[in-house]
Amino acid sequence: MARRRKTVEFRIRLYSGQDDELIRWLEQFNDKPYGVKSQAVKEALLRGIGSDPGQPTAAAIPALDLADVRKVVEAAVATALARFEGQVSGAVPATPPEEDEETEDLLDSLDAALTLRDDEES
Amino acid sequence: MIRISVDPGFGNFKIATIAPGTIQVAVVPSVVGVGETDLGLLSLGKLSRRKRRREPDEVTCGGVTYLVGENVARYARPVQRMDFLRLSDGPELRALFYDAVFRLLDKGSHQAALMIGLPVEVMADRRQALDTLRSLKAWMLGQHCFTVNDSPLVLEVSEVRMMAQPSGAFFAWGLDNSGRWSRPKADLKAPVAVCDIGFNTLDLFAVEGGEIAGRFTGGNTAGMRRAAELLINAVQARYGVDLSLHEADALLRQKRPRLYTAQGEADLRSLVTQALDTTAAGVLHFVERRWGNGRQFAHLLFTGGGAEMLRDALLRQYPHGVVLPNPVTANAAGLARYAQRVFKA
Repeated sequence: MARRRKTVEFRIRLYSGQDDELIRWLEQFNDKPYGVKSQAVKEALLRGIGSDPGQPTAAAIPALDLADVRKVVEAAVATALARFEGQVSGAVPATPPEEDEETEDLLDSLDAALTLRDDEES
Repeated sequence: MIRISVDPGFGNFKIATIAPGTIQVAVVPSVVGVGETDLGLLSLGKLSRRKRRREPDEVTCGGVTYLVGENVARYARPVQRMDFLRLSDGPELRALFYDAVFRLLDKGSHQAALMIGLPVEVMADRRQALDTLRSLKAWMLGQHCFTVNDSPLVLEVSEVRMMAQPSGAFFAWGLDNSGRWSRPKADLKAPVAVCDIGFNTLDLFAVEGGEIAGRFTGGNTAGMRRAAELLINAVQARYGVDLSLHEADALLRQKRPRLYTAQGEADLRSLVTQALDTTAAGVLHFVERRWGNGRQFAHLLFTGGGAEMLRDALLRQYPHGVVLPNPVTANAAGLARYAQRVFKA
């Protein structure tokens, strides 16, 4: 018989008036498939502690008090929103958009490769 | 002019647009039938005090009314076309498009430019891609007058462009809502792969340095439809009940899948697990043949409704991969961001 994986549960209380932004952010996942909300919170936390979600996380998480946790989650939420959906107004991009020539050239090159246009029809 | 992205999946029809500070997305189950929801004195609302399920939308165009979206099967036999021609024209496609536009923009008059995502298998075949583009433009460009649930809409489409669906996931990951690159420049040069697991299609797509990596790009029809078909066969064999593809797909997504049969209420968890495990093995086999262990990619992104359902199996095989947030709508969201970049207001 397969052994159950060890799980860690934690609860965070969010207060109306104080945590409205986080409450609104969480509410958007209410009608999403099972597991989406947990995954979004995990990714927000990972980003908050500086681990890229594309890389395995090995760093130990330092002890944080609640104020720190809230600060970290809020920063991570803003980052996540800017990167993916931007569904809460006031979201701040994780990094300022790079509009240098090389970036634009790469995007133009992708545009040429990816888009099927009218002039290709003949 | 509103820039709209269209991701016409076989499972769900998704469209999106960027509004100030946000992405708006509409998702319509890709189910269309001909019939009506008015059951006269048998109206379901009069028989029960329970909260009613969402009824299908009634889309009327060209004098014909179609039922579209949720619970169509309760009122009419759903059309279950799975061929790629379904993506270029046909009454089902029009009805789905009109319903999605209604859900996104509401009634009234609107002007729009469309960025449409199509499966890699269609885009990779130049002739098929061009035929599809021609066919789409033939009916999409111009003015559309239709009603949804008796609400009138007029839509004027001025421009139509097409690109591969999984490129939407790449742009959802890399662009901000204004269509500018928001990640480090190095991520635009690095090899990035997208695995898009839809209902009918499994698309692999890779870019590096502004170019498509052809060796790692390809598609086939090995999406979640296989899991739905396995479940249909298993339920038929065990309970003698026929499910539609969309009913089976809905059961696959449920946490506690149950079905009423002549033998009583059946718990389908074991059958669903079996169908998902078999499908995961097929998907992983296809991905592994193209990508190996995937370590050649700096970033590996999973998207599509199947990515959500097969999350554990995918991340077990590719632990450095990431399932994008809202994977069902990630392609539509990314194409909407890209539309901000290419369609000038």
